[in-house]
Amino acid sequence: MSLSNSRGAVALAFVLTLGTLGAGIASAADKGVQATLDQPISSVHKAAIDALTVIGCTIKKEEATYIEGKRERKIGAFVGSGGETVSVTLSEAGAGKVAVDIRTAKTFVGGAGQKNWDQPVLDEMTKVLAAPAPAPAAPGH
Amino acid sequence: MGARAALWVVLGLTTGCATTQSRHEFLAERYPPRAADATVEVFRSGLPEVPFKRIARLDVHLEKTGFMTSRFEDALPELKKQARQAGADAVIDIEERRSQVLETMVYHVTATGARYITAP
Repeated sequence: MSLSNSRGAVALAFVLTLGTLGAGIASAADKGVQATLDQPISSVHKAAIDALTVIGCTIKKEEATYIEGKRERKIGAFVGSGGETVSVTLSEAGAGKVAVDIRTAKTFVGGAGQKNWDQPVLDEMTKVLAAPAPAPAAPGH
Repeated sequence: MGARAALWVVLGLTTGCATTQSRHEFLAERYPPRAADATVEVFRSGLPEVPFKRIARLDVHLEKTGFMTSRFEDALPELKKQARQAGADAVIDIEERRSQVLETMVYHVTATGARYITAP
């Protein structure tokens, strides 16, 4: 391989690595996914944390009505992945219901390896909330 | 020289990256952790035959780039570690989830840590 070819390979590697590792130069917020859940806000709050954990987020902010998680960046053979910030905002919707607004913010750099997690998070929250509460004690068979 | 540099670049790009995240969360009462080498029984199906109590939710999250997939055995050591830290004797209610983001293969295991109820 000629010197110019190897320089080209190094340049390509640099660009790909930058795309994978690049800190958020700009973020592109989406319109989000909204839903109303018929559960107490404390249960929805817990379900949001569980859901963010399931998609690989580390919880960065945890307030009474706002939870934010960030997915760790992964270096890949091509573009890697991660770096998305996923937030869940809760608000009382009356009659014991809670409105949720889920949004994914992707970074400009490395965006090719990023995904919108709004719907997966809502699906997971719904699943967690639908699961019956574990029995405090279960005797063996 | 040039070929060697290119080889290092290719190796660097194809090695990829693997990350593991895990946690446990008590369902109600907190329990002290068990010893790091304590035995943890894992029930991929069924339940323990002795009386037990569900005490914690366990999560293990694995992501690998380069289209490399993860297996349950890859998550097992971390699952047991979280169970021990939660004071659990067994892991039950195991549920696996898989997804993909381009070249990144995502594998998540949720389970419940169970503590055996010993006779007073």
